[in-house]
Amino acid sequence: MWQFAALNQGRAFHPRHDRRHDGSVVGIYQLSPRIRVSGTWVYGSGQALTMPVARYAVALNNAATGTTTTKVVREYTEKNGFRGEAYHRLDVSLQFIRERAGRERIWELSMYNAYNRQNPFFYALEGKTDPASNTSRSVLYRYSLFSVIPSVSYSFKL
Amino acid sequence: MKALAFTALTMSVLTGCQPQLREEVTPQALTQQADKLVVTGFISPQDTLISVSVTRSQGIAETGTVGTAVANGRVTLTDGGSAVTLLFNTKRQRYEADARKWPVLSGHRYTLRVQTPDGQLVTGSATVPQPVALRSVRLDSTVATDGSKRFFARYTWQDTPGSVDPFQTTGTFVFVKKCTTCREEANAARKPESVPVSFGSSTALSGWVANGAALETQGNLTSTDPKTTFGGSYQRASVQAILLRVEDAYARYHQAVEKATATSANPFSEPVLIPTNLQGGLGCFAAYTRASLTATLK
Repeated sequence: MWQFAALNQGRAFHPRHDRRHDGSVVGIYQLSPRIRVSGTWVYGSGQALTMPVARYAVALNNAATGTTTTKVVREYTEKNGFRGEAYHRLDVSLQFIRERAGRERIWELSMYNAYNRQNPFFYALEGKTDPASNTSRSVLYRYSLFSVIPSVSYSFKL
Repeated sequence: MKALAFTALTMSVLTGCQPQLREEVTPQALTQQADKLVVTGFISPQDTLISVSVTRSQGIAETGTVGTAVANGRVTLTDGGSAVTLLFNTKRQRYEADARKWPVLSGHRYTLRVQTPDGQLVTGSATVPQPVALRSVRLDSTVATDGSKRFFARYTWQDTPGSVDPFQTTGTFVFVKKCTTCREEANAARKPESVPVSFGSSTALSGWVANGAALETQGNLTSTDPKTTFGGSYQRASVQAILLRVEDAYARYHQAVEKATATSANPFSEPVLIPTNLQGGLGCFAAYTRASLTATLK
């Protein structure tokens, strides 16, 4: 935890890149002399973020004119007080190994993010209009980058 | 060949699994926020009206108008001995009391209490700073790198030793432009115009820890061609200079709100947390004193 007098009203808070758990499990298994299967599971706990929870109108004092100016601002969680969703994915691959003319050739089928986890890349608060009532409200969207990505490769040794 | 066929089949199946890369989420921590009372009030011995606004915050996912006044609250202000109840003004949508009947005094500590029929209670305290007089307001000028001549109003004052309350400067530049091609009668009939003296920010502050030192700040007035003098541009000009001595909570709140509104459209900016000195709600209750000086510029 960090604590600075000038930040978060002097209260302790998690650093922005505080990731409590970060690990991966890797497995490789030789099914037969010609077939090899492997997998990697990656896990990282959610990031510490500052998120808006409410909005409200505040008045600013204008001493020159004796008036007040109203502004609409957002209320946020404590600094980095919101935990984003955890990041995890499984990558698997299947290798078919052959030897021709004394040289190894490999066909490989692999899948990045095999169970199609939509990991958060960033969150954004955006307006959403309901066409039925024609009213707008703020909605939190989670943006993800990569869903399941299959790939095929062929490699050989010279 | 079989491997190629298998690969093509796998790819065609898996490409159908493409999910939406943008998905609406509703985390409980964000959507189950109770509405809070938002109280804003600034008191000064120089004001003739004590005015406090009471509204409610609205959950980020809720629809509706933000900032509707809470009209059925009970708002009281005490100075330790006596108390005054502020009444709701339906026209201005604020709670008000006449400061001529219940004066606010420098050095006194005031406690604001706001309670609504549903049991929400907000309290806050403010101590009115000691007044500091403006010593002088002078006209100054520089020639900028682009050749234009810039005019400033330079404020000077003396800090009170031992006080840590910051200052805020503001003011109004009142002028009547000179028209060299107009007749004398037309020039005489010109009406005065006024613009705020620009200190770069409406919450510009100086002298956080001045400890009795002489302080000076300058606000932009206008810029002209380098060949034009100030007297050549204006028939008459004056500055209504205002110096505020504000509480620390007042300064931090105003700076944070200004920064939050300036960066609200920037998705890459760090969120600005607006501090509150209230218990049980949001907003600010703080005090300030105002000193003013009108200087004719020549």
